[in-house]
Amino acid sequence: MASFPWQTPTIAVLLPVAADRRRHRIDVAATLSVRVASFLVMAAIVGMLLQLVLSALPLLQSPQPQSLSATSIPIALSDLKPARPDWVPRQFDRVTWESTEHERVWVAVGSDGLTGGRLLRRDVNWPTQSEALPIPVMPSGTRISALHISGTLDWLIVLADTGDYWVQSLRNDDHEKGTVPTHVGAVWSPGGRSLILQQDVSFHVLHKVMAHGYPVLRPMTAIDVSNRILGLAISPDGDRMVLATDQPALQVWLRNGRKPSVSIPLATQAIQVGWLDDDTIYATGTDTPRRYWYVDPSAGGVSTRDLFARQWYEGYLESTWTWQPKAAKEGYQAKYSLIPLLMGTLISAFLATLMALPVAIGAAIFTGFFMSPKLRSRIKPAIELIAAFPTVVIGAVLAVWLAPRFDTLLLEILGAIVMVPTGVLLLSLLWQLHPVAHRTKRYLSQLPLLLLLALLCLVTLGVALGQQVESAVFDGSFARWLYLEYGIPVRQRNAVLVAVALGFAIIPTLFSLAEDAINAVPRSVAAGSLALGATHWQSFRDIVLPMAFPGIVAAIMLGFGRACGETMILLLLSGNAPLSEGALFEGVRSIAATLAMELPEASVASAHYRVLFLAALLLFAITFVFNTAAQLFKRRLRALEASVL
Amino acid sequence: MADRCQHKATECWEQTPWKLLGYWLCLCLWAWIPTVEAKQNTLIITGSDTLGGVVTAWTRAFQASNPDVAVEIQAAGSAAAPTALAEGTANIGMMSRAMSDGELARFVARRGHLPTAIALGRDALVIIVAKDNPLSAIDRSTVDRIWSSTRYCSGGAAIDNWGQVPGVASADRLTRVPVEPVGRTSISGSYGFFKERALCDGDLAPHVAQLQGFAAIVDLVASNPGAIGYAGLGFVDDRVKALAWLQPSQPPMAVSYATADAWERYPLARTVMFYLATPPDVAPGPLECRFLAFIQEPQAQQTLRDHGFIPMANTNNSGVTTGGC
Amino acid sequence: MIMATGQSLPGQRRWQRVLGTLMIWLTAAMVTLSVLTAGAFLGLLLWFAGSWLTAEGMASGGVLVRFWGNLQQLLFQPSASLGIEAMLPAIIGTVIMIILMTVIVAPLGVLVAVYLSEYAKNTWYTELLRIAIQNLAGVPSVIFGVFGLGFFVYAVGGEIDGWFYAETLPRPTFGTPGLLWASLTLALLTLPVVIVASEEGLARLPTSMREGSYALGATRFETIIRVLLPAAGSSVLTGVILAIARAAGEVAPLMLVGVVKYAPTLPVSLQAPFIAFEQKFMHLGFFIYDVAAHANVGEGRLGLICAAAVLLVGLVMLLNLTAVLLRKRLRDRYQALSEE
Repeated sequence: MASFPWQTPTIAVLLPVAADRRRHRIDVAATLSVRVASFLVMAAIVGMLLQLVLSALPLLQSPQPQSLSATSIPIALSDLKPARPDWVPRQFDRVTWESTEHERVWVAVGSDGLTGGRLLRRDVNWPTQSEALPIPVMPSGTRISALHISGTLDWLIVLADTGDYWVQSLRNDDHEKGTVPTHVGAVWSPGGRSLILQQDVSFHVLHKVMAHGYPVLRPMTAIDVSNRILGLAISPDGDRMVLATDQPALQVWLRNGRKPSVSIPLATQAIQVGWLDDDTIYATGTDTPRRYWYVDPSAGGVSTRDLFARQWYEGYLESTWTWQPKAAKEGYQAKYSLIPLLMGTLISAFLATLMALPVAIGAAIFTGFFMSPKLRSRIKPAIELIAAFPTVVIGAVLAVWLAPRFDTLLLEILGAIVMVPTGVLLLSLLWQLHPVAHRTKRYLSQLPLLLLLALLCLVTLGVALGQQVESAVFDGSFARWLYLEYGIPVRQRNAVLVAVALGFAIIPTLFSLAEDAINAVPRSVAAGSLALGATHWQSFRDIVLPMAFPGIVAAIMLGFGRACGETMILLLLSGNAPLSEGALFEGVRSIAATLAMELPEASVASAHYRVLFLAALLLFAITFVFNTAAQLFKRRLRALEASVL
Repeated sequence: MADRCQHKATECWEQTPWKLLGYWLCLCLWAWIPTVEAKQNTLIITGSDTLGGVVTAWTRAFQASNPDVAVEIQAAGSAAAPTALAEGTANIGMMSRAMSDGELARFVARRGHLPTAIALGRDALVIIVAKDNPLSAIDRSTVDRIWSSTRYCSGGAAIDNWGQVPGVASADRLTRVPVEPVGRTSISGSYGFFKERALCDGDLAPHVAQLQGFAAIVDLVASNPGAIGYAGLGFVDDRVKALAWLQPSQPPMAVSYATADAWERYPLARTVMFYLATPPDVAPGPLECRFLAFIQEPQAQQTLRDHGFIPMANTNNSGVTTGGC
Repeated sequence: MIMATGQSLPGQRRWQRVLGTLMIWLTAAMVTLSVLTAGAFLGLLLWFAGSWLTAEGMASGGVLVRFWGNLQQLLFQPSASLGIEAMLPAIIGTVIMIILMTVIVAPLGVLVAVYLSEYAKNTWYTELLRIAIQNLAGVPSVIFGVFGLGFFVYAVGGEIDGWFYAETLPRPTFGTPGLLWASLTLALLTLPVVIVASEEGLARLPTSMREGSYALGATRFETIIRVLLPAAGSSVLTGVILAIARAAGEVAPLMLVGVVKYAPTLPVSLQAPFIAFEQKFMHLGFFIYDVAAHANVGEGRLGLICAAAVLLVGLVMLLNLTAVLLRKRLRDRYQALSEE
């Protein structure tokens, strides 16, 4: 818009009257406030992006360990809560224990071999005397390197440094024996799902998996550190490990790491290392006092491999993309693969766009080009009415009303989808066979109203057809047939259901923009081609469509972007199952829904919190790409229009 | 309005924007007026949705007798409680499980002391199936094979359809229907609790549908013959069938209020808790104390019972402690 | 094109015509289908809401008595048997939040629109601002929630607490989700709507209006305030109303920045400071979500959701309708102006 730069500054100089000076001052103040406001908005937008980036970024940086002074050592839980409960006998140095609400089990390495006890709660009180545990039979002189009781108190695993291990059921006499590599020391991870064998210059990671009904230790990775390992400790949350080698440095490793995530230089080599809590390491040298370092748990807490590559997680039978960040107990291996979330977001948005596309664009074509202006002014708001349904309403109503009957309605909906276009085409052909059809064109602009009744019949017919086909061809249930023939289960909350709801929600976005683009093409252009003998449709297809095409593409892009970011519909309808196969009739989990579900529980600045921000950034990037592309297409549209006018 | 302004443009548009701006600034300024006094009388309770209903009922009755108290309840899930308590955004955290060591450690690191835990009552999760499902009891290994991808409890093969479920006759109509397992989202205390107790600390299979509330789970199971889910006992109604729990060499354990004494042996029974941010040996604030005293009154305990919990006094554990008041 | 060059054969021509008519019929059917779907969904809402509200249950008597009784119960009396909350605080919470948001977004949006339309020259900065605002309109609403939580609540709120409410720390006053942050987040979310509508309105005004004003010796500020904004008034208003309609339906960002399940104490009072900015509040959209996921109501869930949805949709539709009417009026007036 034109501005008049000569106008404002000069007037006050030319008319130095007090009132004018006041007006000038006000004008300057107004200019200032307008500029400040626009700057504020710009700052907010940039700040928004910056905040997402800054919150996610530490995740991918390597941590900067801070040496802690004696006064700044944090209070650890172990200072307030005794590490060893009072029911575990005091006299043993090497003892392990596990408990549930009504059972307590301990196992210890005594002077005369392995002993263990079990306490079963009766009513309110625990007995003081423990009953004996079944202990595996081992050759005498076995040096035990690690003990483990499973969380359910079903199994005892005893590992010897020769590599032999014994699995003993604590419920009956079942027992098994297996072998793993020989080792110097062995540490169970806090969750009790994996074991780390410390060897001379390398360490071995083993997973506990269940095979044929009993636990087996399966070697996973062997990592060569190329220096002699002196000490090894795993953090209480099980996410990281610290290694002391014969070099004067500590190495911090991620659980799945292939190389140390950070190295802390020391004056002399450390012989003992450990964790005070999830983020504080300590180390003691031969003649140096204990020192403490703070290592930010979220910084570098997750690698890009964890986020995007298949990982072989603890207890799994193969490497997978898995999103499962939480468990009740500590020591859980958080699984932060973004692939299932990305897959869920894209597949639901894609299907939704596919659903909405023919309806919205078809309606836009007719409303924008063929409809009479008077009817258009009524129909357009009627379609845009859909935008007035908040997505939480669409999601909640369809979740409660449609989802329970979706598997039975599937074929009926499909029938209607097939029946409506074929029926309309047939009707049109029939009409054109009638001689009057070619003499009148007046009905065309009112066609949607005339079709109302026909469409209602066709939908009913389609539904009936679907029912008939379902009972005749698919033995009464299409969903069952799908499962029996192809092994595809139809879940109640599935991607297609989401697509139906989401497609409905984005119809106005697609329709409005596409209709605007088509309607903006000057009538005179089309009129010219009509005068030259083109049919209405040819005039649209060859003249109007090429001009409006960028606008239609922009509409599709915006619709897709909108579908990617939609939250409430997915939250309520998608089942939030983090699958990565992209199955049509199974659940999906989108980034947006995951953010809404998990951000309130993630503690600030934790790795989980940062991964969620990274996911938000990813979602932002996806929508940004589609929005910018849409803007570019819109510009092209404007340029095209300008060239015609 | 605009027409009037066309005639008296000077009056209308000289003042209106400035007035609006003035109002706007005034409103903005009010944000800075200290409202600390009002804040101290607000009882903010955050956490488990299992407890959401009963706590809402409690606060409603509490407010009736204490009209000066404002209440805010956020019931998204247990996992929100430790964070909110550590950050000080809640007076009381409600949880359907005990705090984990990690949550305690983070609380201690932030506050320097342990939180106060108050046991309110017992609750049980039950496995539910559709009304016409032939199954009447289920054991942990089957549950594990249905829900888990790690299968730590059973080590068996994953269950894909009802024909593979022990206890479903091979002639049954359900045998060729896929099993559709349903659970809660991870913010719920029941999610972690179920993984720990029913799946032996294992992982959920990715195809398990995760819904926001027990009510939604009960709805889904009621309407879907192939579905199996879990829900708090208080949410189970006659549209679904609650399965008894099978243990080796023991009769099936039906889970109901009548058998609450036997819950001690039921692995999916749990204690629901209140947590306070004050140390265990220090008295909490007067507002919290008033509320804690209130919920011990017989009427409040009856409300607890009405919402499907077994009050602590009725179980074999000691009753609700006052939390140092 | 074939027609235009006149090289077609009559058979081809007829075929083209038939095919064209088929396509037109198909697109016409899509129009009908969209309208039908919209109508069917609205009908669904009304039907279930109506049948729930007139159902026997909490109230008995004639249809109207039952309707009124059930509505009253839903609005005012939290029902222990239903396990749901009274809806009135949720309605009031929604309205208060929207008013607060409007108070923030309207002046800011108009200022930026005025800047873009009247002050800015075509520099890279204005170009960037325009692109940023257009992109802002497409950012998923949950991202605004994430931003609101990370920036407004934790960063800004935390700072405010540090300065003014240090004595109550670690218990935060503003460093926790609340009404103010929810309004600010939604204001940011709806800002592009107001800016785009206002800028369009300003851009439509003929240059002669500005020239005339300047020729009479008015400053730029006076031109804007006395000439341009009154003329573009209804399009600004349209923008604001569209923003309100958009905000009324949003739930996802609010779940992160201040809406709670139950907060019967209203965030407004008759004593100063009248509005409790830091208080959490109830919201109609969140009420619907909560009923869908948590409420222990069994079979009545759908009716309850629909009854609440009809209220929410009614509110949004009323606002949209106002926007449509204003747009029409604006167009009429603009046409009248250009005819003069």
